[in-house]
Amino acid sequence: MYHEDPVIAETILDSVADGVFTVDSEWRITSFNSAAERITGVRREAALGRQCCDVFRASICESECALRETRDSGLPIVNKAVYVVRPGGRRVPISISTSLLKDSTGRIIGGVETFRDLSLVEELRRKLEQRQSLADIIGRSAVMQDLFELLPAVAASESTVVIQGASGTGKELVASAIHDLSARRGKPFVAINCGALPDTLLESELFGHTAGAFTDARRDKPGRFALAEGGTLFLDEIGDISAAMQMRLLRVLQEREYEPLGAVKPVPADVRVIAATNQDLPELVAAGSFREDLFYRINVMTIDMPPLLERMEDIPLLIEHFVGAFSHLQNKDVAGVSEEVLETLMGHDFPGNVRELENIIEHAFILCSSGLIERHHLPRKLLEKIRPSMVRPPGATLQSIEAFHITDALRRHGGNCRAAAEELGIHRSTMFRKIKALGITVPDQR
Amino acid sequence: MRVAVPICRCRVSPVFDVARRYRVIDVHSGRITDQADHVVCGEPCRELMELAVDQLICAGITRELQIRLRSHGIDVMAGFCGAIDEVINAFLYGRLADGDFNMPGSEWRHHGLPMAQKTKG
Repeated sequence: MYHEDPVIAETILDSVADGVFTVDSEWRITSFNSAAERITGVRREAALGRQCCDVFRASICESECALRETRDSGLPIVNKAVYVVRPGGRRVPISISTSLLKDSTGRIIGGVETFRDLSLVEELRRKLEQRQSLADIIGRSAVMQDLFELLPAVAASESTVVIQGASGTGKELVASAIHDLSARRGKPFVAINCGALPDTLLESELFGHTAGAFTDARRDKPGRFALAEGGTLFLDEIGDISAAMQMRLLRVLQEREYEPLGAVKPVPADVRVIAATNQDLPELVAAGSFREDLFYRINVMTIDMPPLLERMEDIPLLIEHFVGAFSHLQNKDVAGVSEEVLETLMGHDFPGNVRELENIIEHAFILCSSGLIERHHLPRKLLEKIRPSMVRPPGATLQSIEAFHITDALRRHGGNCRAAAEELGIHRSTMFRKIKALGITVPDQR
Repeated sequence: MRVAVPICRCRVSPVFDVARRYRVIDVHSGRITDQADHVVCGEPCRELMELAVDQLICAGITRELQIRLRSHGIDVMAGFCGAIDEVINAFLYGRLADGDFNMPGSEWRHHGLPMAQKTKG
């Protein structure tokens, strides 16, 4: 402590709201105030005498240590934004300032670092800047933030949009969001899956027909274009439509009018078209199965929906959303998912994307009526894909972890202690001793 | 078994999330059979998966990254600091749990626990 009376110096430092620590010339901590304890989660007694990077664990310790920079340049650093990792792994945003400590002769004897907890400021800023949802689209990942930023501009234009993405990524949600954000929001949003209907039926569905147009057409029937008049028509699976339908669609988009089946004159269409596909349209064009002119007509703006695997950080938020939605719908009191379930879900690839996650939570709701969704509430097929050793009990004791590893190794080797010991890198006699001490039941050898 | 330890100036890197180099060792029957230093150029979880690492020994690590690694089957032993050679030796001899290399802050001990690779007796 660099004060004549250490007690007074300590009292002064402890009265400061910011974290303060000092180091000697060997980067060992020489003082550590109360706020530093609170922010870093490390007790003063544990911090004193230790290397500052082992205590502070800041994002810059390794590559651009602020105190080192100050020592080398002689210049203080003021309010540099970094983060520290607390014991347990919580990331705490802070701002740091540094300066050198010199003795009465001007010799450098160490440094002082002060830091301020920015958690609250950061949280408020994030809440202001970041949307966790737009319309019904949920996500805080960078790709979803980019999408949220893009959608209002897309909605404001009248251009045709193509949404590309695998099944279950939320293409219709995006189309609906564009409609809701646009000036057409007071008018209908009509969706049709083009891939689900045969050509003749699709034509009638899209453009409608007049009475007598064909055998069973007893009266006029408006098509989806007519139903979406003034609003938005969402054409899902557009890559699946036939060459003849592509031609008809192109004409509507070019002429802004269409002819219902059996009609004698065209009907004007004031409809914004949003198309979606899970196929690669340029590839279909190259293969000759999708008209190039239609592709360029609809492909004014392309939105790529990322698979869930590319935005895994959104999973906790999506889970929270689905749990809330199903709790409300099914009048259940489910609080969320256990840490083990979260780990299991984070380890899954989700080939079915967000829809698959939604189905998993819905499945769990059938088996779980209150409390936390546990592993046994998850679909069996999902659990079979996850190796038991990939999920570990959180907060377990050393003994239980050891028992877990040994049991797992024994199971994998069909009860063969020699092989299990070999895999774990321990001697066979040690293995037997541990099996006995930990009360492990050895499975019968295959 | 393949083990990775983030390294910075011959010590275990203070924060794994931003480490720039890993020492990767192959351990068989309590002995190192191969080792190399790997310069990090991508996302840490993906890097460790591509290196086929089974176990990570590190100092600080954010909870999110730890969960992600564990969900991909990578065992995480967090909260260990000190000279990298000494930490690796302690791991090989099953002495990592003795406390000599614990980072300050007791909560680390609940995350990833060392497994004896070779007992003294």
